[in-house]
Amino acid sequence: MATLVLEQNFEVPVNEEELGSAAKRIDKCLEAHGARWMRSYLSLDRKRLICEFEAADAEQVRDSYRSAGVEFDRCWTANVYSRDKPTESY
Amino acid sequence: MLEIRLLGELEVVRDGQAVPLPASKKSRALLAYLAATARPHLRERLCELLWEGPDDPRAALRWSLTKLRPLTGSHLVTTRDHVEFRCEGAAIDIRRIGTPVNETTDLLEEQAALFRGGFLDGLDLPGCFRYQQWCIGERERIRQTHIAILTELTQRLGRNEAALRHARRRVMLDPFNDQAHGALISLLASLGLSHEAMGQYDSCRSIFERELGARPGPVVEDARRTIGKTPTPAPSAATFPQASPPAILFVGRSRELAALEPVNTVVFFSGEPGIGKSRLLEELRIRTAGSTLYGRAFAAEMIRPYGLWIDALGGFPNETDRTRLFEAVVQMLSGVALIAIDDLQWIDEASAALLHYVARTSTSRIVLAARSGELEDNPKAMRLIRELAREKRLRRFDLEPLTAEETIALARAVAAPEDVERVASESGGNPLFTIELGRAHRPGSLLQVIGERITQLEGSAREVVSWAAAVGRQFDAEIVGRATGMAAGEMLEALERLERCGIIRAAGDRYDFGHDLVREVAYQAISGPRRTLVHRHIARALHETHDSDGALAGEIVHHASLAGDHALAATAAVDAGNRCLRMFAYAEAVSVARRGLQLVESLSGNLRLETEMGLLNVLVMSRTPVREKVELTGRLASLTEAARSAGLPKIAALGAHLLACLYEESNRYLDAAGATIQSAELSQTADAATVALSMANSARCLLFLQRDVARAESLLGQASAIGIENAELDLGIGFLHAHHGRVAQAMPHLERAFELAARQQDHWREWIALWRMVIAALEQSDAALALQFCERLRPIATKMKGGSELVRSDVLEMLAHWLAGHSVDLEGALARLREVDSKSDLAWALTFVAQIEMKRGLVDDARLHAEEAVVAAEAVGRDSETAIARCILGLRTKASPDLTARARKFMKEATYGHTRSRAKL
Repeated sequence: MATLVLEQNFEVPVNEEELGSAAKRIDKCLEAHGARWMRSYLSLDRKRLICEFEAADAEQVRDSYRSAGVEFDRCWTANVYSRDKPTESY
Repeated sequence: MLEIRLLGELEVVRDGQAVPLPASKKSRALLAYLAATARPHLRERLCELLWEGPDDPRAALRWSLTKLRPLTGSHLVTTRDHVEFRCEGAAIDIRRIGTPVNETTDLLEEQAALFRGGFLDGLDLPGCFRYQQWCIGERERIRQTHIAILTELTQRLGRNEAALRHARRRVMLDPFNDQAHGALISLLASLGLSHEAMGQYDSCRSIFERELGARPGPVVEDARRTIGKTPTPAPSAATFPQASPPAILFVGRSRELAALEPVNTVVFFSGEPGIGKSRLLEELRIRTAGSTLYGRAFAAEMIRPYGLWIDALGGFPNETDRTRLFEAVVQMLSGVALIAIDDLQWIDEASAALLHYVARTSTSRIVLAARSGELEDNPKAMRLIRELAREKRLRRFDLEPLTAEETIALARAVAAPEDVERVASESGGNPLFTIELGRAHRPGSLLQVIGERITQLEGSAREVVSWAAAVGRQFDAEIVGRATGMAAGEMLEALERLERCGIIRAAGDRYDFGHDLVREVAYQAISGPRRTLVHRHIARALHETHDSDGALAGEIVHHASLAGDHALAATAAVDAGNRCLRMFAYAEAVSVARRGLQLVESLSGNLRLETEMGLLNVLVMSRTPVREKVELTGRLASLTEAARSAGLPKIAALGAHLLACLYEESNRYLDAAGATIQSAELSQTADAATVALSMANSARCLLFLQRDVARAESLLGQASAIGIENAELDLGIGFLHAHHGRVAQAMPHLERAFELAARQQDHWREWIALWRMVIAALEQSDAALALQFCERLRPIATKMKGGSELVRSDVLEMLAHWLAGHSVDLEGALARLREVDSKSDLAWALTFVAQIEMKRGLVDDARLHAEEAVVAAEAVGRDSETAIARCILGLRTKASPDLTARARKFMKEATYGHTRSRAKL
């Protein structure tokens, strides 16, 4: 399983209901793919959201968003980088 | 005095005389660059800008500078390393252009006159890349500034010849901007130039259709509707109703009138009723040059999401999500100089959210007014004010009573000379009280004097006031007429009388009370039983009005509830809730549905079942927290059962569908699958559209999950027998045929799914349908057909933000070229798929490549690709690709002719999961 990062920007600050509703639709597709949401970071102005997933590839995450009709700005596969324990890329 | 003109062709003027310029274009470009930037530049940077090449650039620069020195004198300062044009004491036109909104109108007129043409017209040097880039960038930036100046001037100057000149210029500079065309058409219409306005409209339509293949936006149609309608003597522009001439003298408030600067601050006036907030807003609108917008909230508890905005704008955009809706409103507001919102204490949640968005994004000045004591009762209004204050955008003024002198001045305008002193002292500086006391025959409190004035009204005028007060907001004379049953002539006479004595006033094509306190007093004066009757008649009158969009439903709920007509109120609540959902006003949707559910208790029979299910539908579809929705499960389940027993299959099917939605949301997938199937089965006795939709949904779910393909096939077969158009249905059938290798049958369905999705602007389904067609063509080894599809695939991918569709489209195109025998960077294409981490596509592409390589005898290359394909396919559970790749790895020599057939056999078996081990050869 790889770590996937997905970025979203919103014109209007999102509220809990909007986030919850999108998440439910996406989660269903993710589960079908065998992918898993890990955590999200929402900016204080609620206009930027970074989500982290575990999936076999980035396309599974993109497909889940597309299929659920949720827009995003980019989605990429990441190495988890730690200063104490550098990954192979560094 | 040296003057350099860059706006238009380059000109140098010394002491009023034009100076001949150097013949060398590069020398002229150098002069323009130095004058426009007016800062020191390194000689080598200037060389790179204009003389990059094999010659001696520094010498060329030196030569150019000697040509410029006689023109520029001491302004040109050169050192060993640097060259600079010092602009002190010289006039350079572009340096006189500022930010349009901050300039006075006279200054803007002067700036507009500086534009003799575009920036450095004719001074292009396509061979000097860096200079050309700079020139093009500056040209566009300055063009935008020019447009902004013209837009601002058109707005500020109102209706006159000068404004018309600027509006025409703006259209020339920005011919594909429908706002510019709309403003010009409205302006021409408002100046009575109907013929020319119509000509402009036709020319705009033909430009858009010819050049863009599209029709101009609604703003142009709205402008067209003003042709021939606008009264000639009105004071200022354009689309929205302007402030009427003041009915009452305006006194004092000099501090507040000066409060409109700076522009990006929202000004908020609060104060007690009658203190003069509305009159102040009106005065600010009168004093604003250009278009203004007035909106107000109303006290009655009606569910009218965005009601304030709909009334003010005279219409509302229809969009597919809330962000687009808000953006469309901001677009409608472009060109509005001032937005005034009154009675903020009663604002609804949707209107407040939109107001906040407008405050953050619109360039219009915004003024708000609210009753100080009542604002705290409305959490949405309080949240808006707090947010604006936190963002440091709010300037608040608490309106004080008028001074003694100001009160006397006002009293003189309304009271008999002998009463002026008494009225001024009794009113305590409250302007409304001053006016009402001036009109009253005997002293009393504010409410008493208003009440006295209303009781003095006679006959039909008295009657109309009661009915109009019960309407609760701006009222339509026709509705009041229908409710009262009064003859049109009598009605009009009554309205005229009320207008003359200042109780009501015209507000666009409706009427409003002169002050909300007057409405409140008039409403209180209606006796209890009569109120019920009045509300019942209003509810019926509204109900009989043609209202396809449900725009009146919220009002019907309000009046019918007050009239005790629970059946009408509850059924209207369903319409009102659905309208809220369409407008993304979820809080209002929940509120109206809950209200409807209370009313539904007193209904019975099939009407109750149908209404209750409609209300539950609104609740489930609104974005309330899942926890609250789940509490509805029991109620939904028993209602579904009741509908089934009552022989109402359509309602029972809706119930089962809603239950499925609730289960899905609460992650109870097993229950969801059961409910989905139940919904499809129930639908078989419901109407055709419900059946088709329900079955297509169920089948798509199964196909996307790749589970129970046989059942999906059966559902798709039944759904297609009904013959309802549905992109999901064709997509499902296309994938199903392709899954079984029936490409010829798959293609028409995929093509149809593509068309239907395109109609719905569903780019993802458009792309998926076409993508599957490319894959199918490639699998058939038809490179020419694949390339045809690829040509259509790419433009769709470019419309989709954020995904990998563009890369995946490109790779398919490369594979098609490679298949056709063209030379392509195959490894580069595969690398791009690895880069976007699309393992399914990578696995498919690798097996495709490996198969062709086997046919071409490139066994080692095929093995390498097949090995990687196995890893990628296994990672994402692609059984078909795993099987084919393993099959290739099992063949040590050139492929036998039946490779594809064998692979497909494995693929089919592997997909069904029965003999996965056999696929591993």
